[in-house]
Amino acid sequence: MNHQPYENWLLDEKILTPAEKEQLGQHLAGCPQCARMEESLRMLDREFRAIPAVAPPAGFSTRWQGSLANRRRKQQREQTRIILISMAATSVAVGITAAGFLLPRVSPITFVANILTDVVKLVNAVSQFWLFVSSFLAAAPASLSIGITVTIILWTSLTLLAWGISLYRITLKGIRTTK
Amino acid sequence: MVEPEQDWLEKARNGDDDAFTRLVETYQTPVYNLCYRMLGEGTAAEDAAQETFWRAYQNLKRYDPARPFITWLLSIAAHHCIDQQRKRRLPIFELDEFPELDVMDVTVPNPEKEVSHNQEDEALHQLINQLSPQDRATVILKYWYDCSEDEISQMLSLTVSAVKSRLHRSRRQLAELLSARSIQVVNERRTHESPAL
Repeated sequence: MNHQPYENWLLDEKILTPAEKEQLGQHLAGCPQCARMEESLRMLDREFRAIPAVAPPAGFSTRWQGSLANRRRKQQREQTRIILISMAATSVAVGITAAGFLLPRVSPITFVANILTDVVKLVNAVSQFWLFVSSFLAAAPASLSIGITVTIILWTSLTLLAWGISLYRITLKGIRTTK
Repeated sequence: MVEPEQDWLEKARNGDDDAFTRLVETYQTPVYNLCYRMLGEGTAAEDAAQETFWRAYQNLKRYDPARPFITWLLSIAAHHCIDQQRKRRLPIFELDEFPELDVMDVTVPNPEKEVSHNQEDEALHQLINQLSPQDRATVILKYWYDCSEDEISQMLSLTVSAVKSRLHRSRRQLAELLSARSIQVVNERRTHESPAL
């Protein structure tokens, strides 16, 4: 007996014409195998329709809010880690590149000597600058000296504060990317 | 999509967490139900549903408002559950382990209805657990969510003919399992029946 077209009709839930319906009925009456399949499929459909959707345990949205906060913190920590690793990797890469440019051209002793010379020059320049500033402040009126000092201290403090806040934000709060 | 949902979606896309929580409240049951049917266990379903909402939250800007929001959510949930299933490689149940699966007339009041419902639920779970994760998702979306083959193909990133073929194969497999189970139950009853009766 050829079951194929009838099985396909049943399994594909084909919309049958009246003639096909009659043909299927005749086949099912004489074929226990297809009749069993038809019964099983009907039972399956009944079972699926009878069982209702399962709701989550109470408080799902509250747990979602808690989980959202935790996931955000985790994501931010991950971002911080990536930023710090990238910064460290970039520094190392820059260092290696700089070393690659400098080392082949000068011997290590000359390189250290050059650095020491540069440091001494820098110290000299700073002390000369300080002498100039001191003499300028000594010659200038007292109110101007105080004004300049206060302005410098204020800007330095503001710069340090902004830098500190940025570091704090990156370290503890990360960078939001979802919004 | 109804008016408040569009409003919540718009607000959520602009960073309003409370609006997104309203969406979670609205869609928690269909998402959880899909995860529960796919994974067959409450704790795993809860985790998967939470993960689904987190992924939706993160990718809200990529959501296409032309599609129903629930379709998008179910698509995320189905993909996540399929991945989970592949990772977990759930054990296959033997037919002998199936509980009784009697068909009830749901219109007749029955004091044991709840217990029986749970048994049917469990039996159905064990039946669909026999299917591969993608076939299971196809069957669940078709029967519990009344999704069309076209919608299922979009949700699971399959072609329509692949969905048809999966449904065909799954229905055959489920029908055979159910049929085998029915024969087994009948044989067991015959064995335990008294010859005098």
